[in-house]
Amino acid sequence: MNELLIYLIFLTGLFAVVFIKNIIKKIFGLGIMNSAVVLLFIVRGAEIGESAPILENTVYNVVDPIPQALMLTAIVISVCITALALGLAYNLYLTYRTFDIDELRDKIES
Amino acid sequence: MFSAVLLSLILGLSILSLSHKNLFVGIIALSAVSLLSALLFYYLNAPDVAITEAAVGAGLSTIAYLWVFRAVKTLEQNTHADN
Amino acid sequence: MRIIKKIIGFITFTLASLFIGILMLTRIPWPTELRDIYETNTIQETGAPNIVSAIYLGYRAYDTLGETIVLFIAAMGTLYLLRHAQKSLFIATDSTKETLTYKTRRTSIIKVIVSKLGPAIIIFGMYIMAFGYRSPGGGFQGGSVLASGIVILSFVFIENKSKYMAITQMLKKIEVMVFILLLVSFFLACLQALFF
Repeated sequence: MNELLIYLIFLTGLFAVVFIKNIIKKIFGLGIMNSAVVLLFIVRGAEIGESAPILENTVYNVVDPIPQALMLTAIVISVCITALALGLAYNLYLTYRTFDIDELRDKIES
Repeated sequence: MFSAVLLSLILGLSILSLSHKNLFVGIIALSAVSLLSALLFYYLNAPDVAITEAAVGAGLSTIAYLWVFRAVKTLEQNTHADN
Repeated sequence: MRIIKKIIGFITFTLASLFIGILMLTRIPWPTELRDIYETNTIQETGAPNIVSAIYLGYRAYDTLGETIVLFIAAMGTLYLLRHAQKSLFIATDSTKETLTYKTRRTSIIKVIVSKLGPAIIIFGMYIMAFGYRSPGGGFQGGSVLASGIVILSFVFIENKSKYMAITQMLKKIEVMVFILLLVSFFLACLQALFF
């Protein structure tokens, strides 16, 4: 059930990246795909334990800490991708005054 | 059950952010997606990832989107004022 | 031409969704051996009760260092792109200052709330950084909370140029002090490893 919902979220982002014409919405789609991947790793890693991975008391049986450490870095990289893509899109907008990708292609080729 | 409800909310908000005509609504919906997934991470015993997602996804990337949105709006108004 | 591109996009979407669906929807039981290793060995090997912090700041510290360099380069590239864009805009429109006057709708609600809330956010970010080894948190999280606090404070103080400059001067002093503390702690750790 959870995996199916996460797969649908991922498909929403992929659909935006492939089919929607607006560049800003393509960047939205990249962010949504990234959060779907992060959600998948955390949901699957939380299946084998019951407490957070902090060994304060003697209540062990923690969840898997490795997906959490990897997804921490993935979130930080995703904000890099967003900022860089927004900078490029803003530069395109300053030169051609549009976000639509068909108009951009026409203006570049002409 | 709780995680399935939160995931379907996230799915609906992401579809809203992509389908709405106004970009500002899309930016705020994307920020809400980040906040809801932070809540889900806390529920799934991942407090570190929850803090990171709430600070980075709902804070910094929303500020970047809003900066570009404001700059584009200002440029549009200025070009209309020139013409 | 457009139709061919649309067909190519459709085929790509179908193939990618099939491949990723197979990857995401197959259920194999999650392995538990590595979890057990970290659970029994982390406190003896690193001394930190928070296993996630121990992994990304202890076991995989070089990985995190490289990722911080990636973050730094991305921030530099974004700033370069934006500054270049502003410059080309000035050249193109030739009326320098008037084109970029942003409409500000700054009310006293934002001023009062931000000036009370901003220092609290900064202190909370420092707390997250300092106690990340035993409670949820660490360098990335504390740093991003700190950055959002500074951005929120700049919403208010950017109106008054002198106060904004004062904040950057203070930040410069804090940066120098933290760097000196880092060097001192590094040398102390070297001394401890050598002699005790």
